[in-house]
Amino acid sequence: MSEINSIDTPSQLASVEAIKAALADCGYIASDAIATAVYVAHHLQKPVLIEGPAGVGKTELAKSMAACLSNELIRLQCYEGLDESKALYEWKYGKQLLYTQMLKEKLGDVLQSAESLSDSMQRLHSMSDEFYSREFLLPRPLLQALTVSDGAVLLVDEIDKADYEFESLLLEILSDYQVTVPELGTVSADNIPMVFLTSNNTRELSDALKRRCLHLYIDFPDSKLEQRIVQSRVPNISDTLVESLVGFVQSLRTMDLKKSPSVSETIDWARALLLLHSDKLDRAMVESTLNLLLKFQEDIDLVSSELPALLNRQ
Amino acid sequence: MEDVLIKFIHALRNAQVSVSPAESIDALNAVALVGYSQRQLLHDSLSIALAKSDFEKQRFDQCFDQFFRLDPFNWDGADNVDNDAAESSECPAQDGDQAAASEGGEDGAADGGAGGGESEPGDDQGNGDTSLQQALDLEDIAASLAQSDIELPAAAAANDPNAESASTETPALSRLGVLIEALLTNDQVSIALQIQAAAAANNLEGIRYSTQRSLYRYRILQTLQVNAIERVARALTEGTAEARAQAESLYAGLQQLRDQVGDYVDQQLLLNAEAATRELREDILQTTNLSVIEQRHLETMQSLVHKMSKALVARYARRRRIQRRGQLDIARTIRHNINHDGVLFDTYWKSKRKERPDIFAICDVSGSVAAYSRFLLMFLYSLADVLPKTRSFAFSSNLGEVTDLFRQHTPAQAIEQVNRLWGFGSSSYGDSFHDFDELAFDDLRPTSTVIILGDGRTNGGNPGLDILKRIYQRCACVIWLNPETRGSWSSGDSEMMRYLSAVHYANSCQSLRQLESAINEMLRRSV
Repeated sequence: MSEINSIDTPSQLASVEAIKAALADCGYIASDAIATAVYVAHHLQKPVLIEGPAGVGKTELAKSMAACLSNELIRLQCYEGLDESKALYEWKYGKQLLYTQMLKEKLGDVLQSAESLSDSMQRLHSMSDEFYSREFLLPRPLLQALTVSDGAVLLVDEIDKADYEFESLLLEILSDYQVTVPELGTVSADNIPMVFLTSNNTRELSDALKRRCLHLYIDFPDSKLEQRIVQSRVPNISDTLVESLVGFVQSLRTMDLKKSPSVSETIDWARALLLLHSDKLDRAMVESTLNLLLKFQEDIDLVSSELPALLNRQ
Repeated sequence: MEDVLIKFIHALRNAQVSVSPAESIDALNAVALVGYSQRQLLHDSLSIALAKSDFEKQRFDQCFDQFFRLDPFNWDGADNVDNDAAESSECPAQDGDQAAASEGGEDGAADGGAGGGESEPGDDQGNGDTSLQQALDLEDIAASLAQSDIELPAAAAANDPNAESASTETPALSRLGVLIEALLTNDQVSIALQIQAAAAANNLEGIRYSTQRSLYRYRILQTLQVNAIERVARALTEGTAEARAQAESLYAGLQQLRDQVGDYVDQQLLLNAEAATRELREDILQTTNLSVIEQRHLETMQSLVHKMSKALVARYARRRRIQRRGQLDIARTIRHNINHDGVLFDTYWKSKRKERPDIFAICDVSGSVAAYSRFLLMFLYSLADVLPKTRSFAFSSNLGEVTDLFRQHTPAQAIEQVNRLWGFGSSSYGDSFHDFDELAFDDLRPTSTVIILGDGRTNGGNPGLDILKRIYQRCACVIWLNPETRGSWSSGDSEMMRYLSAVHYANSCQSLRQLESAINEMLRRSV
């Protein structure tokens, strides 16, 4: 346990309550489960894999953590075909080439007085070899996260979009916070970054990856929490409007829709309603702004036909 | 206390949540961090460390509720337990068993405020009047039991801070004393721990059948020495009014103890037996002939089929790109190094990209194979789920593509729809192959695999062998899986023997095991 206690903990992460408060200051209303996950992740020094439906604030959590710890957020957006030269590190080829040319010019001076071939070889070997050195290493997000001096928040966004092979690339950094560059050796983290991975579950992630992470599932928030979220993101909105608006969205989520409205869409809708100066939900207004909440024409048709019943329920 | 967590993890594994040792360690660390004091906090932190998918979260929630139903940590008394990480890691509420009791002398002072502390003999000395009073009362009890030579070590321990000699000599008696005291003070933490210790001593995890319940209940109560407690209670009833009151509360406590032991046994039966019978059932289902499996096992079959197809695909997914290190791809290397002045330091090696197989699956859903087609469709559904490039077709008298049906519906719905649209006619292979020819022949590539699931009984009609031959010549592999055994392939209207000339691999497929090995063969060939 001494290992765990030795981590220096910023005051924002001292307890689950402190985390909730700190996140709330940054405009992120966290549930108990989310705050607990952050708390445990920090103290066990484990990455957090966040899954859940789109738009419930998975990416936002990492961003808010970075903001409230005032750490740098290093973001790696995953996509098909992402490989180590874009995620981990790359060599500065141009400079390496210049270096070899410089070397060629200097070579004459060094070898000038050499008498025999073996003597020249010896001198050649005694020269320092800088071709593969840190100076020529171009750090990409993953390596960057390890070398930032005062801690960072690393966000590996939508890991499910990357290839299967890319997951294996992540394993070393996730379990030991280090990266092995074959030419240089192992680069370990000076300050262990806080790592968040998000996934939309378009494919199942490998067990090896899951084993190394804590797994946080963020579901759609309940109406109370969602009301608080909307209020914190859209400060000028009236309480009654928030209540009826969140209630309406929540009842949409129980319907059989192609895509349920997400929290971010609730917030967008709230902003739009505020902009349109409406202080309660009336049918015409809802009908004309429904396309902010629902992104499929079938869904919009379905909801429009049941709108009176849905609004009466409020 | 770690013991409890390990048992919980064991229960989770029984509930089909796969927990690796590394994750167990995470869980132990997490619990050391957050402590046992708040139920929700414990739930949340264990959940993030142990359950790693939607399905596992559900199972975890069920299991957590079931396992911690006995409430051994007295969540309501949370205010007693220090929440601080450092202290809770050695929190005595977690060590209330005999081992800790022997160290009670050293730990006692630090532990004073914590939940389970009162049950430790070492505590009795410095901790409040009531427990001292208890200890004295116990001395009285000990005196009243003089005829059976029992000297209550809890009382003895109160006089001897180290308590080591007493509790090692008569650990059973020490437990008895602790239990009696716990029953008198209604100390639920201590009682629950005693029950768990007794259950562990009787190997309660071994319980498999509901008929074993009373046996285990009896054994556990014997280990807890209820008879001795009853004797104490009886002895007390003959004493003073105060003693009689104590006897009454002891009797009440005993009754409660019996109920709790019963509950605990039931709970363990639920946690353990389910897994054992499930394994047995799955094992049998895998080898049973597909046509005789009953409707009620459908759901289990579905998960089995899905598991199987996932495992198969995972096994072959990895071999997609075969690097041939050591062979320089000279053309690529030169091309990529042109802008470095032609200096070849950025090398490219030859590699071969292996495509995942694109599969065309054709399933017979006619009346003659109705009993099998359900499972074959189920399998097709799972395959389409894990191998996105699968196109599925179903036919009886005519053939149609069902790929989209599988994408849009749940397995049960999709299978029902397929059967409604295409099913239960009499099969016409000629027409169906003709339809396939028109629908998909142009999309067949030299790397494609065609799987045909059917009995090859053409009802005397045109077998469509010429079309199958063309398909055979065009794609990498044609596989025929026949629900009939090889022996009947040449009987009646079966054209199977003729079809054999136009397939790369054919096998009978009657149970899940056979289906698995056939698909294994397919993936081996096509990858």
